[in-house]
Amino acid sequence: MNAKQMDRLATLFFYLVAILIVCTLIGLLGFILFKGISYISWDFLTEAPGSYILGEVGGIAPMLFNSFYLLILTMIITLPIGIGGGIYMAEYAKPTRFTKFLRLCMEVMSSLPSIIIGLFGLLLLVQYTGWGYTLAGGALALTIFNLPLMVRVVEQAITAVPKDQKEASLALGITHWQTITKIMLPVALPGIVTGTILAAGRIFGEAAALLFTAGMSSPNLDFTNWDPTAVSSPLNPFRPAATLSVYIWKVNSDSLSTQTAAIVSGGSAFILICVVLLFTIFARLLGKYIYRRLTSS
Amino acid sequence: MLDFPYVKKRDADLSTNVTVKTNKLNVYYGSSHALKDINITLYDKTITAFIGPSGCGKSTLLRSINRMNDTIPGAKITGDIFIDGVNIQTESIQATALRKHVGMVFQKPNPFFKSIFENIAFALRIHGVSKKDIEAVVEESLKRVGLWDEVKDRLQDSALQLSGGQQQRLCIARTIAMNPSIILLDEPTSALDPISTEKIEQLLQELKRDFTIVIVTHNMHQAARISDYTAYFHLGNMVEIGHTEQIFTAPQQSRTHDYLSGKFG
Repeated sequence: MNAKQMDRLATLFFYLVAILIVCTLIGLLGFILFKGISYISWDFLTEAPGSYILGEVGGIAPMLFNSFYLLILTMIITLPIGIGGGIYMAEYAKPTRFTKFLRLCMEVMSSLPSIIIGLFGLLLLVQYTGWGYTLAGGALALTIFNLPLMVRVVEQAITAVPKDQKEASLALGITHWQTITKIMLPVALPGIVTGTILAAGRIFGEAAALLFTAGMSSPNLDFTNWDPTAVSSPLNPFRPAATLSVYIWKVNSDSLSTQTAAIVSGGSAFILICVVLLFTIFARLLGKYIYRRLTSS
Repeated sequence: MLDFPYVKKRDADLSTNVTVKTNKLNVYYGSSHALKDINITLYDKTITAFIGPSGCGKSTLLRSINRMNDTIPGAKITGDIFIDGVNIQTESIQATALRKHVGMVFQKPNPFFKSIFENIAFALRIHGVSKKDIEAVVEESLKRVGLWDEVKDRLQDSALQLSGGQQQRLCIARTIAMNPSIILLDEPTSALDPISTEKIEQLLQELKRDFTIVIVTHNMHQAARISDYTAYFHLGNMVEIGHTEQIFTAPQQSRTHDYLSGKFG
């Protein structure tokens, strides 16, 4: 076989790989969306769950709310720390052994098996603190994977800012800190926003780390009570909360009716996939919009 | 024989007031010795050109004068740099204050990703200039670089929409808005077309009335056309400095002669 034939063969191979990836994705999404949509109804989205153990379908409203609320709580914790860490890694960390060690720690942290994080959370955030299963515990457990990801997103976004922007600012007698906040962060913001929303998709679907931290059930929520200290308030961060992913797992393992389990998980999977897809599209649009606004172009 | 048809004639009234003076200046980047024992004097309201082959240290010297080398990890500087008699290497001199006094324009036009107005107003605001004064300074700076008529109706548009030459003039406007006494230019026209280059060169002749100008250029003809003094650098040494007319017609050093005649470089 000569070089030219080899080149063609290799090209063909890579095309096939690419097609395989796209087909897998389309097949997977198509199946879930096509099967799932038939289970979706207004009641399914707005009702509380029924006694699924005995075969009652009910709705997913509290779980849907819990998933979003947990995401927001996690972001409130991770965003400030992640932005701070990212700025440190991009602008202040000198290339020393300590910095290398820090990077290694973050890689390890983000690749820990999520069930282990869940068990660790059970020990520390549920039992040691005496909180029991809480949203706050779940948010802290999710922080463990999300934080390294956020630090990397912010670091990469800042590093991608052209170096001449920084030099221009420093040469005007502007301090390093002002240069970071007023010149570099605005340019990096679209990248940070896009990366944050994509990371949010990962959190939104997480289940294993939450089983033993946020718990597998929710109290009866009163959606008219928005006092965060009330026991039945949806906003109370110290109440147990099953998220959508956890609920899928829970119904499948507990329900005596395979049909109910199929309906609940099919519908929930549809919603989960839709939300994650929307996150991805929204991330791109928002990133572009912010870039145009900030550069006034 | 050297062949430079457009060498600037020596001005009769060149100032003898010293603005910048270095004393045994050495710069190291890690283990590489980038500048060796430089003793150079720059005079008030003159244009001095630094020429020499790549890696000769001309940009390093330029970046020492506003202490931009501080931002490079591993850079080490010994010796003294005096600006108006003050040693800027001492710890009591803040780099941020120094850089207001010594402005810098870069090789590639680098306007901020902001509006034309904001490109100039931004630093003024940070340095505490009042809102009323900012508008006046923006207008005056844009007029001085000949950009005002071209942009006065679209000050809120992005600076990135300007042409390369306009962007570079905006960067010069941004620098003079700080009212510095010295302007350092690091190959400011190397990314520009000949017409934009000519505009910048004319502008520098006008700015010379108010500022001391130092320009690094890889274009020998540019140095010959616009500068009052020319310094030739080679491998971290300053080989020769003199009036531009003298350097380009009768250099004292054979290395300068070889470079200017195109033997290497």
